[in-house]
Amino acid sequence: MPEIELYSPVGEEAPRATGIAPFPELGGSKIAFLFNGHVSVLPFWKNLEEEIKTRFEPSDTVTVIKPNTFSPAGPSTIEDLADVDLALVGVCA
Amino acid sequence: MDPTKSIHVDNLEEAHEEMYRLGWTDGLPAIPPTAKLVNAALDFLGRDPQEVIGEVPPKNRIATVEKVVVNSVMAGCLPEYIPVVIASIEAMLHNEFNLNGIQATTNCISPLAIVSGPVVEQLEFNAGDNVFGGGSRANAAVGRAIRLVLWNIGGGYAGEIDRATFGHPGKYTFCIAENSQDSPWGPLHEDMGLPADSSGVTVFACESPHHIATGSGYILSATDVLSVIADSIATAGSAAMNGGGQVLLVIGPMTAQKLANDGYDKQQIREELHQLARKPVKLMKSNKFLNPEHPFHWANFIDQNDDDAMIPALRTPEDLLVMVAGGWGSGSGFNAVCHGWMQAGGLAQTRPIELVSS
Repeated sequence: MPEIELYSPVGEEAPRATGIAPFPELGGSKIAFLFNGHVSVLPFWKNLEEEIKTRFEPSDTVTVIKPNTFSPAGPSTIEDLADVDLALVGVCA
Repeated sequence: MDPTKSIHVDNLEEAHEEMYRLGWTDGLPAIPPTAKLVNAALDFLGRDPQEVIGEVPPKNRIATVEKVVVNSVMAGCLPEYIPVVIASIEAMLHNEFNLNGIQATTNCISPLAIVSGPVVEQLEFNAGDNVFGGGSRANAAVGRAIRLVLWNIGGGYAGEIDRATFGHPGKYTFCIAENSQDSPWGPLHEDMGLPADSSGVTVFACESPHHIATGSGYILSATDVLSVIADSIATAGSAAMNGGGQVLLVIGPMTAQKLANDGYDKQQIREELHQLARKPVKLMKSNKFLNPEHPFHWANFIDQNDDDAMIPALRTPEDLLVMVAGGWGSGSGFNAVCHGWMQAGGLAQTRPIELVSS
């Protein structure tokens, strides 16, 4: 039997809700585009928005820029998106 | 094998290699967290080992008292230091600190722990010469414990979730103390809302310190000194110029005495540096780090078509954190400035330190 016990410094993962909501139909829905506004993806993001609008014909769209890359959008931003059917989230650094 | 459970080894040589193999350290060796050392520290603290301090991002693993103690033991902490580590973690978990972003960003910042008040002397933190360097077990071990918590509990592994482009030497250890004995002003924790006679730890995510030699602390005018410091604050390409946020100014004792003798208190220093630390639009508009529509961009409050307009690095005077630390030097005023991470996170948070009475 080994002589020395070492306690692990690694923390246990907090429990999280699991399950993925079914992907909604996009036609006629309200879509939000939420991204961090990084300058290197402005052309890409603009084209992506146009492509989705053209291809899926949503009834309405809204674009929201969150102020940094890695953090979740704040509560007020989420509240602003309460009435959208789908939020497309993108980040770039 | 459950990575959160204890392991058994035959000897200390094997312990060191197992800790590397399991990814328990970031490259530096660590003290093997034996049951004897961990339980002794837990007994000293007298807290429930399973008490939850919080969830540490980005992995959102649970920081219990026991897990923090294990990492503190690995860092070489005396049990007496651990309340400082716990208070630092509690401060970093405040929403405005945005630890999730701090742990993952491509920017090169690291949480700095600033210890202030009577605890500095009680636990023998170094607040003088080499305050950012080696030589003090308290500074080194507390900073190291915080880093190991961010590593082992937060899961902010370099090269994985931590995408800092250059990293940061303070990601091994980053803890300083305030030099209250040589400060003509009140302590930093008082500025942050704690009673002046208490002890506190302030965490602030920042770049490495940039040293500022201002010339003789005795013969220059206060405005001369502040003008030199201002230029170091308003560095083109710095987080402050790009996106505002906080800047930490660590004033050496000689400079502090000079400024105080000329009638300056900390608020006057903040206000004068707010005016002096600026760069013109014609220079900054060539920097495309943020697009002008970004909420942090200076174009939100300065006319970007006016080439001669001056952009303040400190969006408000209160964005400057002011403290005294370091050594006296021998003829020149020495100071340091640490830029933060725009308004994206790492904003200074302070918690009281309550030592365990023996």
